[in-house]
Amino acid sequence: MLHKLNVRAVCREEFNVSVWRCPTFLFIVMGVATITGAVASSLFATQYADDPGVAALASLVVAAIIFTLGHIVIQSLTRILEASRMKSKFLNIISHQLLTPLTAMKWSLNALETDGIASDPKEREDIYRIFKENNLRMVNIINTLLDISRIDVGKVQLRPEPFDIAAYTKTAIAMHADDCAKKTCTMTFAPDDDIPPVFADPARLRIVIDNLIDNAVKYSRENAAIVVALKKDGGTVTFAVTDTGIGIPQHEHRHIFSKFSRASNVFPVEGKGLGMGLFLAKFIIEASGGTINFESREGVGSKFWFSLPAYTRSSS
Amino acid sequence: MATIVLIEDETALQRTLAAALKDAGHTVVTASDGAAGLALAREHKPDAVILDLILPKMDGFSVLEALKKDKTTAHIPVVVLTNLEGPEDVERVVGLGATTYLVKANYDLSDVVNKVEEVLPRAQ
Repeated sequence: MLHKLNVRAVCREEFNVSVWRCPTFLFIVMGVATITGAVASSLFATQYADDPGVAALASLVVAAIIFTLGHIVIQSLTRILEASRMKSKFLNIISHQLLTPLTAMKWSLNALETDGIASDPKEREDIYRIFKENNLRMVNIINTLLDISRIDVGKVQLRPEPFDIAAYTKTAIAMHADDCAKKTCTMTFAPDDDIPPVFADPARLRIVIDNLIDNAVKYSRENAAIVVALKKDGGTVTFAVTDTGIGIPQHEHRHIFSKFSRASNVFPVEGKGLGMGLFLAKFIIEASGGTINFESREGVGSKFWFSLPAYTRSSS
Repeated sequence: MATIVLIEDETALQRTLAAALKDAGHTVVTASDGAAGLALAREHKPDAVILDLILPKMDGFSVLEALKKDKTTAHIPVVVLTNLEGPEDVERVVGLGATTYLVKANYDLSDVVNKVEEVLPRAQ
């Protein structure tokens, strides 16, 4: 019971927000303001009994302050409701994303238990591969979730080291070549000569590069042209991927780096995706001392790029 | 045995389900997006269509609607096979004329094959 009197702790534990965004605290402030306002109005009314205009003005000011505080309380409640809505949306997305590889693994096992399928070596090999790929897909989803929760509690530890961004970009393009070919899209790699290494956490930067190329392929239409470029400019290396895909509606631009954000026009095109890739990318790039940005037009295409400091001996 | 058009964009699910249906003696024609699936259904006039809902190019709802509007394909039983399990999705799909609605993760491969065989015209 006494614990409940510690408003700061209640705000942190129950709502996970600072006191100035916490309905409990703001409600107390509003209560104090209401009582103070009532007392002040009464004093004014007594003091200026002969001049009702002043008393009325004082009451009006008090009412305006209480109205403003009420508005702030409602805003803080709305933010908390929004966070709760996002959590439900998140659970929904995660469940769906996990159900697909889980079903694939279950059906692979079922297939291996079926004599007619298991007795064919080619089929058996394919099914084992499907099982392994989907197991890896689940591990990747869980690792992404763990990274997100570490970001939330401020516990991500980046381990920067010199990273050959040109070599990895080439590998990433090769890894997405099949998906691109399925859509008859073309992917061109246009690097400047002698791209220097960057100083970043290799495992995390691979995720960023994979995500950006994967998005370009996923959201491209048939016969699309994707260009991946690497440029050096003084002490900076810039990675850019340009697609001629579905683009992002203008009014959704400001949310695109937020958690669980997926543009409203992706669903008929691509069901897969956690809405986490760009949120993670922004965190990783900014935590590595770089910048990330994009431009996009719905129906025309998108360009995403990030810049990171080139590695020099003084970087480490 | 029956001819079945399987419209599923997840390679792993398409591959395993097609193998099981073939093992049960059926002819399976596969498509990885809605538009191609609809074209295959119109071309082959199969005994049943297995349809995912989240699909590239044309979603499953639109494919189902197009199949049911077209006189030449309206009679074909459609088994919707998805991991979307919201009541509003089920209602919409049933309203559009799907014969059965199955949530993939809840069924073993053999159960899906049995459910599909139940809707084949011959079995009715």
